[in-house]
Amino acid sequence: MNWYRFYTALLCLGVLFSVEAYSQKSPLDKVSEEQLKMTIYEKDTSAAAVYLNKHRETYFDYTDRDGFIIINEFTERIKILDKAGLDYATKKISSYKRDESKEFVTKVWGNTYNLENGKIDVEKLDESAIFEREVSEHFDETAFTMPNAKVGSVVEWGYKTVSPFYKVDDLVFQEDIPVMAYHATIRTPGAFTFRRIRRGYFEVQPEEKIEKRTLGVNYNMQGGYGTSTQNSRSARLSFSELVAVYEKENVPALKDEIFVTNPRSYRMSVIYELISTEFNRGNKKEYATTWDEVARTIFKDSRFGDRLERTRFLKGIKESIFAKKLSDHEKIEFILDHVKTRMTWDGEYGKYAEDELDEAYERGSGSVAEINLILIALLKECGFEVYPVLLSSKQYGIPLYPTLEGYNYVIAGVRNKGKIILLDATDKMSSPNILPNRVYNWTGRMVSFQGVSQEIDLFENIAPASTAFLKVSLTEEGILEGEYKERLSSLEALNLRHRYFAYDKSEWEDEEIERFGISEMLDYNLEGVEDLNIPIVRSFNFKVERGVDRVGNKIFVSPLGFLRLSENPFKSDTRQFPISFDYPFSKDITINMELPQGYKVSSLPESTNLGLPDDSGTFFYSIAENNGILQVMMRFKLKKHIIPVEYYESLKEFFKLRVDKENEKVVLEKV
Amino acid sequence: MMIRTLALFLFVTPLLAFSQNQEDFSALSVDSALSKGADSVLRFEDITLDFSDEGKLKTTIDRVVTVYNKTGMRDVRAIAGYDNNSKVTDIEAIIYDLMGNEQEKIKKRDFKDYSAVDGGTLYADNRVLVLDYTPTRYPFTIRFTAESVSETTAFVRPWMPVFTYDSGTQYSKYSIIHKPEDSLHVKATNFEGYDIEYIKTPEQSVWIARDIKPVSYEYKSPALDKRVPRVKAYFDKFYLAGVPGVGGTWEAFGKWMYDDLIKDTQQLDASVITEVQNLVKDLPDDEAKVKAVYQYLQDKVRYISVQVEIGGWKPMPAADVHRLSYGDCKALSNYMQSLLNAVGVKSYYTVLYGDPDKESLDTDVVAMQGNHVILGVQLGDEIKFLECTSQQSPFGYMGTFTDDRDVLLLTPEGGKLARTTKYNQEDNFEQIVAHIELDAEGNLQGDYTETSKGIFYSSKMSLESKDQKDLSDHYYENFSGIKSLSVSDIKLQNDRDRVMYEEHLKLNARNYASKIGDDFLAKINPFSWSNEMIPPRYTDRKSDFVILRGHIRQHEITFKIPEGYKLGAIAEPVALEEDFASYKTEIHVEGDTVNYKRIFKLNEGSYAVDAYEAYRDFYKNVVREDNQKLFIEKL
Repeated sequence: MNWYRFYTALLCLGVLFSVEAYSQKSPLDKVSEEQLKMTIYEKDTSAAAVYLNKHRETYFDYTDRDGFIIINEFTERIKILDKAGLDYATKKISSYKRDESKEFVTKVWGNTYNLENGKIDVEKLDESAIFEREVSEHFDETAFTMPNAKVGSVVEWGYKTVSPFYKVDDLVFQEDIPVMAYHATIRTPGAFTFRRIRRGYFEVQPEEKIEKRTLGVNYNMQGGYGTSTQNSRSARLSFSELVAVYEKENVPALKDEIFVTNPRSYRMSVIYELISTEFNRGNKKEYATTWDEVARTIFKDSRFGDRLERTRFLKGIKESIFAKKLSDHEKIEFILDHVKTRMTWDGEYGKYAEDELDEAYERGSGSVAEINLILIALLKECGFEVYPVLLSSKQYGIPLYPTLEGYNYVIAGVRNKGKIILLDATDKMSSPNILPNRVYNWTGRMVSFQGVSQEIDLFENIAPASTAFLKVSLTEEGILEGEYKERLSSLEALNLRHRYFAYDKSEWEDEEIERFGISEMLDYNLEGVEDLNIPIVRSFNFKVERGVDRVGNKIFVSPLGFLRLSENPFKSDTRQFPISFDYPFSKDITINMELPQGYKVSSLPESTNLGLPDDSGTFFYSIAENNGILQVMMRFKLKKHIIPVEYYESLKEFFKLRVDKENEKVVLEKV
Repeated sequence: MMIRTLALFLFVTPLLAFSQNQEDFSALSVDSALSKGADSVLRFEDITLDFSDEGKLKTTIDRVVTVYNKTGMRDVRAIAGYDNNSKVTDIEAIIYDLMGNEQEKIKKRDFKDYSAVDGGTLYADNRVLVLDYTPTRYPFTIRFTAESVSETTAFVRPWMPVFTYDSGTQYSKYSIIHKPEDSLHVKATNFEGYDIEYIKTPEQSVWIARDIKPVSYEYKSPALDKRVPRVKAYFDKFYLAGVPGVGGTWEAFGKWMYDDLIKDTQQLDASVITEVQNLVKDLPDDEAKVKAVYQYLQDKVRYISVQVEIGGWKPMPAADVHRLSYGDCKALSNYMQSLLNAVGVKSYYTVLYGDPDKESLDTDVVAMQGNHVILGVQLGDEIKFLECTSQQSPFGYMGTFTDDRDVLLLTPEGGKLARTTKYNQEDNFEQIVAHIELDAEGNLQGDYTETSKGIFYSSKMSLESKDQKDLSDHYYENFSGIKSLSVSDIKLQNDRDRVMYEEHLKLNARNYASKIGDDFLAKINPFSWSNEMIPPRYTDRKSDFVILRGHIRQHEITFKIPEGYKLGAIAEPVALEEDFASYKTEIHVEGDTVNYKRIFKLNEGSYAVDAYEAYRDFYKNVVREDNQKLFIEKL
């Protein structure tokens, strides 16, 4: 895309451009009587409000102080359809700031339209009702609410944002209410090359053309060498730019669903990713094109690769490790443990270490990047072949195309005896290859110190599983008594550790009694809970007082008892988004149940074997009686943690059959 | 004079003892009786409120807390608020490690400076300085000191030697210094059983508490304020953001609020007055008029919170509310009052606590209180209360946020205490009526009607805003005991006049009954309660339990079995009766139909801790009885 270029000869002289003020007039047609009379949006009759128009124009300018700036002009018009829709008569705009640079909001205007006795009444937004405040270190907020807004009103506003950051805000087509007409014109000068990425399930095709643009430029020439006179000059500057016009009608509202890690990932939008700049002909600066390139760019950032160079502060601990004469494996565990103990995660994500590593180390707390880069630096210092592994965490979403913003997290990957061991020191309970849940989102990318990178399957070395064995006896009175023993491995063990250590020890057993829904629990034990590198064995003796139904001389018993899945988590009739589980896992239950004397089995559920499409999951159930002992086996396995939306019906049915089967009763009859 | 010096000397001693001996900052020296089960222990606290300078309040806080885990941080409260009328002159925190060695000092400039506005507010000028510290290991000890000066003396922050659950207290001191001529009124509660010292001189009052064991939150336990020592205090004269105020009695206090905060904000344009007068001119009585004006208000305005004037205590002028059509609780109640003035109906700006736990104004403490405003309307001898921030609330309906509590009415003659509407057991009525039929495949279908009155009404108001999918999902969640359910023909009837909500729908559930050979086993009550209804278990519960609102929840079901089948043995009806609740079922068979009725009554009241196990057992029995099954045999 190098056929439009920004001729920047003038810029080298230090020209000051004045921002050309665009007209403040609304780009939209007049509000019509028809719009004011509208009472319902036919395509979504429950919509509380609807965007009649969402309009945006984006273009670049240049200032002496900030260099290139990006200007957005937003115009939005909303029809309020019911009382809940009045929330949309309030607008809050947040603007980002960092160091000396900040975005700002200007030229705010607004109108409320009401139909009063057949006439259109307009109420203007008063300047004094626009509030600006500092929300936090990095964000300011401009907020206003429209006067005289009521059910039936049309509210509209416009504002302009000016940003010194080279970031074209995402084009957000979809909102929590429907959008009837979306329009965006994005003009990007030839000096900038962007990749456009679509997010969410929808089609949009921008209409594109190349246009010449001429800016009237005033600039001051500072007199040099002691002269104090100022020469004001003016010039005209022409350059070409890519004009992309996006239009979309009737965009449905974004709805929330269960089993979605991050609904934001599905909001219909177009993202502008900066690939390169070329301010002077032939002097092209590349930003990102492939994941490999992205990894290289991140590595070259002073807050990443450079950080790993300055490791003098780790010399002391390194020597004490060497003095211990440990095996490689022990060394890795020791180092991980050291960083986990020393450092506490402050809750901040990020792939870049904002602070120097020695500062963070001294402080004892830091972000994901700070902590895990310390971990990497220490492993490297101790002679391991270790590389940063970039990834995007669950709450951040899955990037669709290679982008610098695709990653927000970094962990350590150690190559040892031909295998890769993954480590994350931000979670005190984590152990080699068993990382906190937030990490298991997508693939990782390991970056070598030469800048070469390689994709890593984060799920490869985990096999979260729970295997339970129960020995139960059932009395004639309907009491179930027995022994429970369960082995939890990998992430299942990590999750249990997280819960266990967050609890007050004196309340934990009560919590477990409630969780299992049993009446009594004795000899409770969690073997291995303290040793993070081994599975946990949970065991206890239990009593369930009313574990069965009795009608007449029959006893009805669900053989899986308190371990059965009693409801289908998927109840909705339809589904918009893929279904994501935390991670793939398997769950096995084996039960031997001794039946009460004097009873015989009069009916047994049938054994069954089910599967999900694409071999994403299986369910197996079998039951048999032998000399007054019931033997029950259940094997559930989820092999993929994300199930495509097309399989929703199958998944729902799969769970329904599983729930039905697990709730089916064995009937015992008095002999 | 002698006594005073001595007293002062005594006051100073503990602080010195604490700070001279460094080891005292060590978490190791905490008495295990205070730290057992605690997230934090308040090691030392010295709060001084100095009112000796007219119109000024100088607050100094010195607090040392040992923190055992993440939750324990909430007890540190290393935060100080300020606004246009107050400033934080000094603030600092020092972190000590386990052994009591100083680790880190956090100075004022390193505190984060935030706007203290929650998401629901458009704008307020309050700001806060907050400690930005990530603990690196537990336990550690933190000392927080802050000094601030304010032109608001109306709020005498109460003494809370125990601030949160699961926090022990070693030493807490609270002093109020004032001019001898300004007499201090005090209300001290829950001192019994605690080691508390109280020293009073003409210029100051001091309370010291020592060694308080942590208290835990327990399901339905009385509020923390009712379980641990508290001191509330007030003066007869005070300043609110620099504006002088008078109190002493509720009458005088209410008069001042009315005169200084309300009265001059009620002017409306003549055209507005004419408009509302025209609106009600043909209506027969005051009630009809108020109803019409309330409807006008609900259609016109919406709730938007903007806090600016006099620290957020003065309502936005009624004329502005009329022009902008929005405001907060103060502005909207005040606007409604102005409208009612125009039509000649008497009403009162009413200050209260909006709180689902029925928190009342403390009527013994004549001072600025409350967090919400509603409007009381005089209709004959009765006062009807109107929630002016809701566009949906029926006329006179209170809901759990404002029902049954002491409130302050502002009248031109002065303040008056009153109580808001109470909903009794028979008012709070939920009735489910269902006619269901089982087919020969074990599938269930039928009609369902649910009627909600009284307090149950309020939770239904949000249903209307859901779309069809969210609405069916709502029922799928609610009827989670019915597997493979599908619902259709949902009809909602909101009868705002009678404050009654009706939901009608059709149910269809595949394989509702379990097939056993040729026979079926099926729950008679598809809407039965599950184990989740059983109150949580406590091995050693400490507190009484409180049922804030009584209610009745009734199910009436007709259950028809398929042709070619007969009913097997039928469960016996039961009647369970306890002080706190009762439960009764009735079962009659008529041909191929079972008529089932179940009535659950919960009785308002406070019950001794000893009864808690019985309370749990009662629910366990209800769940068991609710889940009785029918055995349906093939002929």
